[in-house]
Amino acid sequence: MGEAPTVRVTLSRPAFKALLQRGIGIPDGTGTSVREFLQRTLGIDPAYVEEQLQTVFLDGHPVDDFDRARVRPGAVLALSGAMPGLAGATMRRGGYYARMREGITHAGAHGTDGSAEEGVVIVKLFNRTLADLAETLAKRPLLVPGDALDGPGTEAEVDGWVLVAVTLA
Amino acid sequence: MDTILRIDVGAAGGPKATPTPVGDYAGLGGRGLTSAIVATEVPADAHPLGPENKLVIAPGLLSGTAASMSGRISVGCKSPLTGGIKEANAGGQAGQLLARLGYAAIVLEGARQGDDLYVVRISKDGVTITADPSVRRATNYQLMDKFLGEYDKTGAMIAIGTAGEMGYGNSTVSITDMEGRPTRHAGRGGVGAVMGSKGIKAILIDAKGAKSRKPADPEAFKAASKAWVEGLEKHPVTGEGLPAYGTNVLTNVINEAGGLPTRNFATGQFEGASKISGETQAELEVARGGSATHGCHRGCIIQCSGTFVNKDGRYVTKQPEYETVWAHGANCGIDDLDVIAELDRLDDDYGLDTIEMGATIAVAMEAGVAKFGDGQAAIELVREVGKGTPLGRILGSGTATTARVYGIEHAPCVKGQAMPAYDPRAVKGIGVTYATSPMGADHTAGYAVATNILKVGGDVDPLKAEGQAELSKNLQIATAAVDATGMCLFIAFAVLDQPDTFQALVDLLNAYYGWNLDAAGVAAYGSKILAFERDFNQRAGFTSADDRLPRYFKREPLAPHNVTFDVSDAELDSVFG
Ligand code: SF4
Repeated sequence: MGEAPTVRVTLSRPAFKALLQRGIGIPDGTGTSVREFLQRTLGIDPAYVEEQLQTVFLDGHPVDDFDRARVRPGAVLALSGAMPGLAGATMRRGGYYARMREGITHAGAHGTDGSAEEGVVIVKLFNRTLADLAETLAKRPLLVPGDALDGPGTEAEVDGWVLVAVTLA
Repeated sequence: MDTILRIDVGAAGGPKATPTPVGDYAGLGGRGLTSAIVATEVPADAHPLGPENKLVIAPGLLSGTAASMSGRISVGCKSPLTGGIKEANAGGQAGQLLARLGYAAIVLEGARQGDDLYVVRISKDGVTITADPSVRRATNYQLMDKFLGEYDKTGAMIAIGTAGEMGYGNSTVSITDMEGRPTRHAGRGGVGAVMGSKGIKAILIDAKGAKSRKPADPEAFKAASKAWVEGLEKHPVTGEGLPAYGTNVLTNVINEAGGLPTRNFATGQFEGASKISGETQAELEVARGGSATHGCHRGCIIQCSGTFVNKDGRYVTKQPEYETVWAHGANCGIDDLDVIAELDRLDDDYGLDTIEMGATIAVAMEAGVAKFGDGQAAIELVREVGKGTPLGRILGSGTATTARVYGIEHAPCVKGQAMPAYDPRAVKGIGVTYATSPMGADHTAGYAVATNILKVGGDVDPLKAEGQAELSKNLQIATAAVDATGMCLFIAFAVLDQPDTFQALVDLLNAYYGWNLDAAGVAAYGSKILAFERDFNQRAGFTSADDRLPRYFKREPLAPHNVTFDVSDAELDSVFG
C-alpha cells in the first residue's frame, strides 16, 4: 500500500457500523500478538479485551490464546461477544469449563513468527463489539473499501482502499 | 396436567373428545410424552398420513407454572418427511394455556371419516368440535382474522395452513404468539400434514378462569424460580446478546468461521452476510419503528424475537430467526432482508418450515428453476407451494424429493430432512448430530454447533474428526431432557455455562413434582427419551446406514477452509453404539 492522502468522511452511525461488519483496514500493527494488536494498535481497554471479547476469529479460525496467536499482514481479525450455544461456556477464560481447554492451543497455528512486518490488517466488529468499539475505532485513521464511499474517496483509492478520518454524525 | 385429551376423528357422528388419565405416561412431558406415546401406540410401519398414525401435542413438564421460559410445546408423530419418529417444538402461547387447563397432551387419532374440516374448541368448561366449511384452504393469517376475536385475550390457536391441508412433507403446525399471530411453528418433519390427515384445521384454546399450576412445594419453587431468573439475566448471551440481536446474531459469526452454507452448501461464506446479519436486521427494525426485542410467549425473559415492519412501518412478520435468514438468504444467495421477511411471512401463512423451504428453493436454484440471488423468483416459488400448483406440490414435498425430481445429487438431507444453517464440514460436531439424531438433520437435537464454532469443550477442534461422537451423544441427551421440560432451548446457554442455573432448573422440577432428581437423573431422563425414539426408528426400518451424511460432504471440500466431513462411519455408529 503506497502513500495516500487521508480523506475526511462524515458517516452516520448505522453506515459506520455497516462498514465495520464488512471489515475496515488498519494500516499498522502487524507482527504483534492478537492481544497487543487489540490493546495497543486499536486502543481497546485491556479489561474489555479480557472480559468482553469472548469470540475472536483470526482468518476464520477461532482464537483461544490472544498472546500466542499473531497478526500477519493481510490477516482478518473478527471480534464478537459471547454467542448463543454452549459457546460462552468454555470460551470465557476463568469460567467453569475453562479446564476443558487446558493444553489445547490454536495460537501460533495461524499467524507469523512475530517479526515486525508492514501491511494492513482487516478488522471486523460483530454484535456487542459494534456498539462498544465503534467510537474507539472512529478516532484513528482507517482504510475503508473504495466501493463503500460515494464521491471524493474514490480518487484517493490505493489498491482498492481509501485512508479516511471518520467523523460520526 | 393429569389428563390426556384424546380426539378420535373416526368416531360415529364426527370427531369425539375423551379426557383420559395420563396413566403410565405420568411424569413425562413435552418431547418425552410425545415420543413415548408415538413409540408405544403408533405401529412403526404405519403410513404417516394413514389412520394408524397419531398427532400428539404436549406442553412441557413446567409449562403453565410460574417458571420463566416454560411455554414451549412439542408436537410429535411419525413424520411424513422422514418416515421416522418426529418431535417438532414451538413457542407461542398454547403450551402454557393447555397446561393450565390441565392437559398433559392432546392426541389426534383414528381414521378420518369424509372430508369435512373441523375446528376444536377447548376451555375449562369442556371441548366442542364442529365441522366448518369456511376454513377450507384458509391460510394461517386468514384463520387468525376469522378467530382472533375468540382466542384473543386469554387464548391461543393451534392450526395448519394450506400446506398441512394438502399433506405436504413440508408442513407445520402453527401456534399463535402473544399478539395472537400465527408466527410460531412446530416446523420440522411435516407435522402439519398429519394434523391435516386427521381433518382438524384449528384448535382454539380459551384459558379464561384457568389458574397457574401449583407446585408440590411452593416455597422451594419460589426460591428456585428466583435463582432461575437471576441466572438467565446475568448470563451475557441470555441477558444481552439474544435480546439485542435475536438468534440472527449468529450470521456474522458462523460466516466468519466459514460454516454458513451458501448457495445450496456450495461454499461456507456468503459475501452478503453483513447485509442480512442480526446486527443489520436489528438496526433496520428499530429505525422503521418495529422492535428488535420481543418474546414469543408471556413469561419469556430472554426475548430473542422482534417485529419486522416494512418501509412504511407496517407489520410484515415476526423478526426472522437465524435459520430463516440463512435458509432464504445465504443459502439462496439472497442478501435483501425485505425479501427474506416476505418469504418468512409466506412460510408462516401457508404453514411451511422455513429451513426446509429455503433448502428446497436452493436445490431448485441449482437445478436452474430460478437463479441464485433472485428474491422475486423465490417469492413466486413459495406462492406456487401455497397454491398447490404441480410445481408447488413438488417443492412442498421437501428438499430430498425436489432434488430427486430434478436429478440433483446435492440434496443436503439426512433421513429425508434438510440440514439447517451450519455446514457439517466446517462444524463436524453438528454433522455428527445431523447424522445420528433420530429426527433427521436437526440443529436443535444437540448443541454441538456452539461447542465447535465457539470452542466450548476445548478438546474438540471444529475442523478435526476425533472426539465428536461422545460430545454429540451427551448433547443430544441434554437436549432431549430440556425439550421435555417445556423450557426454551435457549436457556441451554445459561444452564450449561453456570452450574447454579442448571441446579435451579433441577430444583424447579423437584419442587414442582416433589421429585429428587439430580444431574444423573436428568441425563437418564434424556436417555430414556432417545431410547424411545431410536427404538421406533429401528422398528420403522432405519439402520446405521441411515445415520450418515450424503456422500458428497465427504468428497467435496468446503471453502474457505477446504474441509470435508471426515468423521468415520465407525465413530458415527459409536454415538449410540
Ligand atoms: S428466547 Fe426466543 S424462542 Fe425462546 S421463548 Fe423467548 S422469544 Fe421464544
